[in-house]
Amino acid sequence: MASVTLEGVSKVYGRHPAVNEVNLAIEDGEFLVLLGPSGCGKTTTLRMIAGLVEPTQGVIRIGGADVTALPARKRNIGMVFQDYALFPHMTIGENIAFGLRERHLDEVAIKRRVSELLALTRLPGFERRYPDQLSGGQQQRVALARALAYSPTLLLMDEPLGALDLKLREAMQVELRRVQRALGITTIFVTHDQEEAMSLADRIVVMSEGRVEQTGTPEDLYRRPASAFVANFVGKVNFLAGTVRSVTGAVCTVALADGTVVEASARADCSAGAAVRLALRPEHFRVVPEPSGAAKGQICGTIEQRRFLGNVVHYYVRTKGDLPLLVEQAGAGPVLEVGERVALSWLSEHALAFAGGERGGTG
Amino acid sequence: MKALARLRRQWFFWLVTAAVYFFLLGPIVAVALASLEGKQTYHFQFPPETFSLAWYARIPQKYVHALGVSLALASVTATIATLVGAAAAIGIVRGGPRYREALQAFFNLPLQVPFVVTGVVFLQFYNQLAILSGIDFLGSLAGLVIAHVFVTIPYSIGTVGSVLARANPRLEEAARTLGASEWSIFKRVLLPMLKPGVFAGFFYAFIVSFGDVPIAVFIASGGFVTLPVEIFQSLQFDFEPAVLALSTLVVIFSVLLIVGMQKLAGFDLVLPAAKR
Amino acid sequence: MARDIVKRELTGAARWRLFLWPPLLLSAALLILPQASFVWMSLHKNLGMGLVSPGLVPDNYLRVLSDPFYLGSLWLTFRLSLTATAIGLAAAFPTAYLLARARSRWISFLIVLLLISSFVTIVVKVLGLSLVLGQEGVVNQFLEWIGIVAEPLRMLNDETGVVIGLVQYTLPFLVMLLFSVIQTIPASLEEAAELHGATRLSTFRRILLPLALPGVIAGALMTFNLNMGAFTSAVLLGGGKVLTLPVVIQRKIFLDVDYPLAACLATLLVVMVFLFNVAAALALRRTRHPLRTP
Repeated sequence: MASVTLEGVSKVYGRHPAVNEVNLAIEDGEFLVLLGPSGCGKTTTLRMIAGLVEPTQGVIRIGGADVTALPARKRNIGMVFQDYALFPHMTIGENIAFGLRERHLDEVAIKRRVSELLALTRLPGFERRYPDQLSGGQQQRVALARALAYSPTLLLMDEPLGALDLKLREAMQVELRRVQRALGITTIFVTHDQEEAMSLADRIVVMSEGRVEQTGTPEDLYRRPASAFVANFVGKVNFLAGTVRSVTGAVCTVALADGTVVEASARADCSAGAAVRLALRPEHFRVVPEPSGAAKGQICGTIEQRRFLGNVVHYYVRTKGDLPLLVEQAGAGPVLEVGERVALSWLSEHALAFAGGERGGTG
Repeated sequence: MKALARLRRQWFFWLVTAAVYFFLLGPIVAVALASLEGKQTYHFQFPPETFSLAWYARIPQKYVHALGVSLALASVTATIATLVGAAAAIGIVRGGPRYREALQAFFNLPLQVPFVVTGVVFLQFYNQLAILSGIDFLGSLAGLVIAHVFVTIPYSIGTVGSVLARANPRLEEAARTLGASEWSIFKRVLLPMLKPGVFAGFFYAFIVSFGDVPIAVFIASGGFVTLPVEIFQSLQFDFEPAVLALSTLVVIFSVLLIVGMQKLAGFDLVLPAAKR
Repeated sequence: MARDIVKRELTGAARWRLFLWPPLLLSAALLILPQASFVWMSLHKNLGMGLVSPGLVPDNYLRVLSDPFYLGSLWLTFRLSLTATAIGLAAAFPTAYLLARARSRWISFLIVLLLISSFVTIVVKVLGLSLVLGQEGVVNQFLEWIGIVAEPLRMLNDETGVVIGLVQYTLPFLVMLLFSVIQTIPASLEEAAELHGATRLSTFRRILLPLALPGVIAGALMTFNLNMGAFTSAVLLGGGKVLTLPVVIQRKIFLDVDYPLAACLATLLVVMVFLFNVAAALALRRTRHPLRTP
């Protein structure tokens, strides 16, 4: 097992930087997820760690050793590809044994190891089948078994669950964590799906336009996003545009576009007069029918649409001028009707003010 | 630096590729350059010592005529072969006949007969036909067309078939649910889908027909001798430097045709045809 | 209900199947009529002056199969075709691989060049080859200039020249075919092999070659068939000394006007090529088809 560090790693295609000065430190045994929208450089970063793409700049270390110039086959890395990349002309057994044969193990040892892995990935009896005779989930597990066969120091996964349907995906996430914990192998996992990232990761690295936006535990990212981008990408969020009136300690007062004055948690870059965007999670709203509300620090609106999802109810609340806000309430509480006037309030610590406020509405 | 590193890793591939392109294009370039030789020598002169376009003005009439024959032959052949091949491809792919593989193998047979044999076969066939019925195909455009259609049908079956196999049959079903008649589905859905395959098939048939020597040399005679056969005879018996100029014109024509074809069909659609 | 739908769909397919008949009849006519008359001709005896004997006799076949000249010619054709096919594959595969895997704007230009080369009729290319490779050609001038050879290298007017001509004829087709074959093999398979510890050679041997094999064999067969039936380069670059079967057939027709013997030789050629193809197809059937076409 090994730690991985990236020091000022960049990759430039032509003039366009796909990855820009990325610094990362991944601890031994950690499950790290690279999260970001398509084209953010997460896959390129992964491929540089794998040795499939040569960095334009920077140093990559695995277990402390500089591997930047080391060819992929000498890095002893296991990787699961997005399309699984199972060799179609080889049986499942031969696929899993591929890396072992390249390492010139004797046939007895190979056979033993292959059956160990088939057991680990819960695929006993599949040894003689061919990849195209397996379902997507089974192929995925074969790809995992193949990558783990030669006990690599590092496991890389490039959107490995993207092609599976939702139920299977969730089952595979649990399975993946089970195997990863059992082996204690350092794992780097690339995805664009924030829910998948949250459910798998010890730590998440959010990337955007080739840069690292924020690194932290799922909880960190959700509760204390470092930027509007992270707030928007990890979980659902509403944005309200406004201007900072005053800052007192950890709390600032913000005048919204419609004139309502509300309180929010102040961030370092908030100063009086600055244009800001308030980020508010849907579940952080308190909803009361209007007549009793419309007090200081509340905004009013009309329920435009209701979606009952069982455990929760989603309301789209139309406020003055802005896009409708997404409001989430527990499904067990009283259900409000479409057309009802409501007042929304929140705790100041739940409203995060980010500099640069031009957009409102649901993120 | 990066490019150099890649070059270092793939030097073998680059070397072979460079050699292949030199080998393939060098002779063609040599012909074009040699055609510019101004001295009136009756042997190969390469590289040229003096530049002139003199030979271009002195291309004998019979070659111009042969070029016309070749163009007519290739166009007619390609048109017929493409129509016939497209029909066969539709029948095989969409009709789902029982002996599909055997049918495909049957339609591919002409490519397994060596071209020289096809030439001899049609020569003797026309001879006997002339004896039996009095219709003489030898030395006629029709005779050439029939033999060339025989060998070029497989190409258009291949190109149209591969386009059809990749096309989504749901599109036809979608058209049906939208209320289209069978004829309208054929005209407005199927034909436009087939277009690239049809173009590619035409293109291949044209290439084969236009460049063929081993078949045409047996059946072309009299007023209908194709250009490659004329050049072949000239190279074999009495070389004329004007042939260099003529060949260069043929090369230029080929380049123009390919560039035009690529604009029409795109070569990602021309290339899969090579699979056959 | 469901039955009706099935029935309707069947009639749809049946309608498309009607398209099959005209091409089938035409192809059958063009294949069977000439070939039959041809085999029939090969069973006659040549009486000279273009006349043939009335009865059917196996004389021609007995003569050909017992004459070392014809058998030697067949063997020569086989040998040269195989050599040219092997050289063609060795040159075409790396080229096709580079074209299929490189991501550069130049690739489409290189493919257009390939198409141009395949389009230009073989006689023009042969003419160019004799300009370039002849005793006074640029290649010899260059070799003498850098001092590798003292005397001009003899590359034409013998078997070498014929093989060079055959490769020139088939190489562009072969590169294009292998290009489209390699394109269907996902690059991620090679990456996976490399990551799992395979060297480049091992990746080629264990992944690329087995997956490309059906395409490589198809390409080799196509090339072989073209080579067996070509005589332009044998006539023009062999200096009249390399008597492959196609050349012999051509001479029998034009010089000896011995149609029955030519027909017999041509039948022999077809049968050999056909047997070779069938053998290859059978060998191929035993290997598992790796990339199923949808």
